[in-house]
Amino acid sequence: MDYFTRLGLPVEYDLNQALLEKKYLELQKKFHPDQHLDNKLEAIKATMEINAAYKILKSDFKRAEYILSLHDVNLEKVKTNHEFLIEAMEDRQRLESPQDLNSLLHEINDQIDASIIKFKQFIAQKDTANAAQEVIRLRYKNKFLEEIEFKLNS
Amino acid sequence: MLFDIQEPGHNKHSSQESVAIGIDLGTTNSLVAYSINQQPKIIADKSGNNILPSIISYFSNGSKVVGIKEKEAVVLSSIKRFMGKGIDDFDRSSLLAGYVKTNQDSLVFDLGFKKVTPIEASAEIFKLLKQRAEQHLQKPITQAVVTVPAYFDDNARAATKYGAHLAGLHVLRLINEPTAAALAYGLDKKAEGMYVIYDLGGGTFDVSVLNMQKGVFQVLATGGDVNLGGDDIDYLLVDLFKQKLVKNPQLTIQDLNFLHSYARKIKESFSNNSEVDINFNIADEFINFKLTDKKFESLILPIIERTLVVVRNVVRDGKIKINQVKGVVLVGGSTRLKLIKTKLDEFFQTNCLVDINPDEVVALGAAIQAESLTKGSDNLLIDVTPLSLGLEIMGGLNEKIIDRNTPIPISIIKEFTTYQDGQTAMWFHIVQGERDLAKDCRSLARFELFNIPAMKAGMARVVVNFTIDADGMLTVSAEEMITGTKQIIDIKPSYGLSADQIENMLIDAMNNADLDVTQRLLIESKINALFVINMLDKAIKEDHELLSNAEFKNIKSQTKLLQQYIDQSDRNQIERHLQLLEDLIKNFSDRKMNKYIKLALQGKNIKEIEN
Repeated sequence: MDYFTRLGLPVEYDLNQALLEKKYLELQKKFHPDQHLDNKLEAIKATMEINAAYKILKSDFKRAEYILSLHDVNLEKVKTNHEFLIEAMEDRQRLESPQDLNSLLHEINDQIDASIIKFKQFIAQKDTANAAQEVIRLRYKNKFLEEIEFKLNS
Repeated sequence: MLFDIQEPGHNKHSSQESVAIGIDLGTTNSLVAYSINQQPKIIADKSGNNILPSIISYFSNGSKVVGIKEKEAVVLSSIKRFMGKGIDDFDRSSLLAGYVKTNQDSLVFDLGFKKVTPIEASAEIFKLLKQRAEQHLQKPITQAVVTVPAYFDDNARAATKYGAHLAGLHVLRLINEPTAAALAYGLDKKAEGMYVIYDLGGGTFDVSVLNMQKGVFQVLATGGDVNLGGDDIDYLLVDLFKQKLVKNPQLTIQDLNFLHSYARKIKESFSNNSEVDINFNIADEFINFKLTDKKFESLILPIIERTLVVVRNVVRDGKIKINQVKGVVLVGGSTRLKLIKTKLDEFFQTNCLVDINPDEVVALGAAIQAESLTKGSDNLLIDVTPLSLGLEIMGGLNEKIIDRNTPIPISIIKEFTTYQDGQTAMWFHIVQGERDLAKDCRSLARFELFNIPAMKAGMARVVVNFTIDADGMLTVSAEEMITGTKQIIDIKPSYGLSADQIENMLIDAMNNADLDVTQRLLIESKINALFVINMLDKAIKEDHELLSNAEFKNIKSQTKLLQQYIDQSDRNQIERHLQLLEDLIKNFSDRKMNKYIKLALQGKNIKEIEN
């Protein structure tokens, strides 16, 4: 069973966060091992699955990764395109100039939003090759965002 | 947010008769509580004291007293700081410094007439609390919920569990201290909404953000510092005392004990007084000590600031806004300090809650959970793992498998393959922590999967399963899938030993602490050395162009030497020569790191790099 179905949600990128939380808690109440003291092993198995599904679907970029895997794309085999590599290197250089960090943070957030829109379009067109490029981009930009935040906080 | 919660199904347990207790094993104080119909109560001793000081007095004749500092005895305190730790983690001056055995490189308290491990010491406290509960409830008690700092790593959790085990208690569940506090608070005060739990104990600091709705206690994020607590304020005061000593005398452990008692009293007195002025004699010197609350607050401000950094990060991790926080629950005796309240009120713009005694709230929550786990309940606790779990990959990088703040229990599967034709073994190094380099994280276990059938590189399919159970404890298993001959290695991260082995080790430790530790350390050294040799071998095959001929020769001969000492089981020489080897390969590692970081930045992943 895929993670969306596991949580009783439609298999699509757009996600009603409130519905996710609601479904998640409903299932936890039903399956959490603490609620099934006599049949623990089954309950633990189910809860582990629900927790994994929740964790993946809740994150905007992990959800994209997951949708891609449902389209039988092995991300490990996808070659990254050259323009993106250059962009990533330029991003990193900007990390070195601290006065720029706040605007960089906003820019990267905007880029992530734009990338998600593109990802959805590619998926709708069943263009998995381009969708995969967007996921790689999202993965990198999210990691980069963490680095900026870390720098801003330290 | 409104939740439409279904009625839970069958939820009653058969063993209605048994009572399970809740235990808060604290750095400074420990407590035991029980709960009936969700009405938790602390169990006091015969004189009506709820609190048991986490102190053990050992006499040379073999007898011991828990909870009291006896004059003629050797006194152990703050042992919680040592749970699940190795000598390398031990870098602070503390009361116990004089007892920590150093010539063995391990953490055993050497009392002169007896050697005691932190686990054994904790068992003494568990035993006394168990007795206290049995006397009060007039029946044998065998089950308990035990609280641990949310930020405790796997080793510390395992140590706590074994301590309870040695005292004859089956641990139903380890629960995180802030979560326990939230449970007690939520049920008693009917708190609903987003709450922050600020838990400053004697030796540990935890912060959790929870969403509490209709009997569901969902931890959104947690964080902390296991080396920060109220004790640190005492240390600051003791340092001030020492500066007053003009003759610079050699202080005995008894003297230090005495100074710490004074420090604690002074700290506590600032809850009511604005100035302290005391006189006392120590080591033949007379001391007059004066301190105003203003000075005291400027002294402790750095410690409070450190906690606020953690608070800020946890709120961010929980993805909530400051103005969503309905209340801040204060836990731990140290939160009686006025400065903490002032700073938190300022930060959250909301009042701190202290309706439940901050010393008792954790034990009360543990008791409620103990009742739930034996009798069933409609409340649901959803906790998270505080630290990310990862695997060391090429270049020494930490690849995170389970991110921090993932709800538990959880199980994640990752697939790996061989990188060389005919490769028949794979090494795994499991670490816990957030840093990018595996060496900066806590090393939990190293293990090797043998007997992989020889085939072309990239053909083998090794599935590794990472599981964190409801206690926040980890199991990793690896399995080779292709040939059908399943090979499963289950490891419990304590130097790669299984639960049975640890059990045996503990029993041995009771009989002969010294030998046991020596053997464990030898095993650990051997595994570490073999791991490095193996990684190095692999690394050289892949990136020999990064090495000069001279470097290569030196490394080869040093490796050979190290291998000899491994075969001879000579731990000191293994350690020494491993260090020499590591020094030799440092430049190579750096060059290699640079190469792989560059690749990683290009969005390539480990499989591409390995193949």
